[in-house]
Amino acid sequence: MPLISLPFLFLFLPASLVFHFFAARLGERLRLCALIAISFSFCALWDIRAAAVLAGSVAVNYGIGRLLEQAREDRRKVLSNSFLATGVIFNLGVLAMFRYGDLIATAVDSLADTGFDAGKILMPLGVLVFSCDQIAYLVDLHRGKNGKPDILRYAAFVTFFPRLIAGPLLRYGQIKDQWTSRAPDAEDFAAGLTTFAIGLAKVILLADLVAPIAATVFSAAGSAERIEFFAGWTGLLAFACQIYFDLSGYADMAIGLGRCFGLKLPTNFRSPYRTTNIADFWLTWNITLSDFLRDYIYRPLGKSSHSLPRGLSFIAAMVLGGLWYGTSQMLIAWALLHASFILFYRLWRGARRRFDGLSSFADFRFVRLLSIALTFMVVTLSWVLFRSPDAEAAINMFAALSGRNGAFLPFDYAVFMGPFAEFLQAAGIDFVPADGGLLLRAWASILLCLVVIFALPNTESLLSSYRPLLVDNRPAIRKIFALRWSLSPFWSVAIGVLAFVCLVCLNSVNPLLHWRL
Amino acid sequence: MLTDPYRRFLALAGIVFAALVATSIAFCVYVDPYRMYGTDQIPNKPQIYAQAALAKTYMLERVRPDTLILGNEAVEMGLDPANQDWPDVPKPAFNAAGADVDVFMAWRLLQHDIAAKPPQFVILGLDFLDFVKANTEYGVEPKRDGEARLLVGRDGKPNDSRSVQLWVDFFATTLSRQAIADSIKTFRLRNTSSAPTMSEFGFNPSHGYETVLHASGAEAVFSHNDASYRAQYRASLLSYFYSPTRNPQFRALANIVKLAKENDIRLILYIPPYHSRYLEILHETGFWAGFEGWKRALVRTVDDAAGNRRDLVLLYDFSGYDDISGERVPPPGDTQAEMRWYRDSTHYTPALGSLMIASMMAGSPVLGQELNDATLESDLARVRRDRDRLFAPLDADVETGN
Repeated sequence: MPLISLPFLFLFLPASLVFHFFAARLGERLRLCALIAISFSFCALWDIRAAAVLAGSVAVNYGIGRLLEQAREDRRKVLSNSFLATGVIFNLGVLAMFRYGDLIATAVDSLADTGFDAGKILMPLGVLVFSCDQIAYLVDLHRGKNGKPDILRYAAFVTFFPRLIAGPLLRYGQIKDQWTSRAPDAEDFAAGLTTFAIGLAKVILLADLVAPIAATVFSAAGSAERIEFFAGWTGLLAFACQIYFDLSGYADMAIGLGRCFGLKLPTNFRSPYRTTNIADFWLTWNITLSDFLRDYIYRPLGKSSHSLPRGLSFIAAMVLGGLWYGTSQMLIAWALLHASFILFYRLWRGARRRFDGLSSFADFRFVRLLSIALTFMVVTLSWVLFRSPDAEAAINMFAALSGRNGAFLPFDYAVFMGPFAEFLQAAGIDFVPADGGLLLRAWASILLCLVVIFALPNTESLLSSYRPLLVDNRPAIRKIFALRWSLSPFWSVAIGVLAFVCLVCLNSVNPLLHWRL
Repeated sequence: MLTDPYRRFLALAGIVFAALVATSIAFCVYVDPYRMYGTDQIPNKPQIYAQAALAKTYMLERVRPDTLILGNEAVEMGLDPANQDWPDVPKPAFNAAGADVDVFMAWRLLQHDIAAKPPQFVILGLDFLDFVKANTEYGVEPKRDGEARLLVGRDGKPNDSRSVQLWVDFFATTLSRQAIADSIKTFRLRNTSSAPTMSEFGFNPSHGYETVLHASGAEAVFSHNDASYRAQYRASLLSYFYSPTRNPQFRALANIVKLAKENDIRLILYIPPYHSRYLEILHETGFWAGFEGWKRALVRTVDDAAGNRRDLVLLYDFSGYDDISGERVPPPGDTQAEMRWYRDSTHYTPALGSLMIASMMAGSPVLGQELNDATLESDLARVRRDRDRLFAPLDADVETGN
């Protein structure tokens, strides 16, 4: 059952909240049972087999965790290491079979001509999220961090359904103190429903506003159509907005729902497009994934006694980060490109430290704005690799973006531009018969998204007074409008109106990205 | 009075949300842009074609006609059940034809209508292109849009999934961006008589078509649509219809005839009065032999399916070369001259529709020819002869060099 659907919003969610509310009032155990039942129902409504895979994974990991904990308490290090390795291999196996099965099957088929239809492989809901969560859980257990959770607490942590579609990833330590018999109160519902409505609006009103633009341009690039300069940039900027609002919208929805069930989840996006360098971008983009890659891939690989060179472990972590988003080879290329950006940035930062003048230069407001623009441009250009179905399509898009395929504007614009049109023609821009209104609407949609991205506070800042999510010590991102959510009638009406607008736009939701994750 | 600020916040947000939902539902039901609820406060429905299939299904269920008209868009625009010139057609009559109604969907709509109340008469316009384009491989016909909202399934049993579809349709017509926008536009244009609309009996007066005709002239419309028909024929495989049961459209036709037989319904099938330019496209693309084969297959299918109740089924052929099908198209650039019988090569005017109805219902054929085993070959020969006669002077001119 998709999160963005009428049956979920008007049947499943209200029934679940009421059920959980009354169960929580009867005690912690009943609350946990209710949460587990709700999460499994959610999975089973999607696909009963997905619920079975989830149940199997929880049971096996919990069993391995108990054995590991016992071996650790008995100070039997080899045995404890073996249990950890078994657990990690099991989870990687589940991922390989279900999440990357099509990629593996296609590769095997191309070598051995097995004739296996990769499309038949089941992809259980949230397999990526619950597998990564459980790897982190076992590693933390091995490090002596998680204590001894009972099966109910563990199952409720792994299966909590709002996160299963697109995260955020969760560590047991972040949630273990939140299992109490306290039923969610009005504050939880007010902050949670507001966060959920904002996330819903990001997906339905903003991501889906620009999704058709990006889809049209990238589909044309994939069909080897010749795309001109303005169309290329319009499609690319549309996709940059779409993916941000899609992913951060789903994260907000999960966080909001978490709060409605009395749980605070970690933030996952903190205005990544407003960062001044590529390293900060990765600290604010899909934060829980970046943390997972750092703590469970990069650091263990780079610092153990049999460590890989740091550069290699960094590249491995980045490639796995790319594969989070899908199984296309282009995603690996995208991840490698970002790895090279970060390495280049580190070199630059090292050079900057050596020259004092450069460091103080970076503090100028103008330089700061330039850094934001440059980072945004670099990240946006890299989305070409992320979104293109193959290398030919990406090359086609880069040709369009560089102006090699020419630059055209609708003929209507020349009339309004007057003498400026001649200047543009001299610069190589031609005016052709085309629907000028269509292009204008596309630019207006992108502009609206960019205003929301760059000028408005993110969800975390907006609701900072009410702390709807787990907070960390990272610095807040500057914003132009210091807008704050409050309990005023204005915000009540605004959230009511926003929820209504989302409802009436629900019928035209674009499913392009929602289930690719 | 709520003292807890969080509860006050939630209550106010909930009230605003509920008020907006209630307002949207009330407004859309009052305006009823798709004639779904039958409130009819505003007779003009300029946005109804955004949800034409949905609208007609619910209208059909409400009207429960004694005469049901089925077929494609040409039928929808050509046969006006409210036309005063029509002879004794049992009333109410409802035109359920539409762009997506080929013979398969006509069968499904007839099943739906019979489940609500069996009609006395059914008139079905057949289109050669539907049969040419049909997939001739045996197999289950894919599920069509709109089937879920019909009263019965393909097996004739009550449709279990309908209740879900009713809710989906309710939300789509009261709580969607499109429904609200269409309701506002319908309300704004409520007094504009030239706005496109659909009559309460399903007829499409094609105001939009008139606008295009007056903007670009009949010749431009004919040429544009002829190019499209030509391309569709060229992209299709030549079929001689030796084995009609291989074609799902024929299977649906047989089902329609059987339904008529089972429910004692008078069924009138007709081959439309294509303009002679369209018939020439069939010659030009090599489909003429297929066209004649199709007529033979129609007669055979009707005979086989009707069995001993052949008297219930009439099959008319309005295609041919005569003064009507040869109506002169105004020259390019002429945007004022109006055609009496045609809007393009396949779309005829309600005036011609009335003549056809008179021929079919009154039993005094002023137009067309009844097709059956006895008349089939002579009818085919007549059409060939008429064509030869029409083009003979031209051929003579070519031979003499004039």
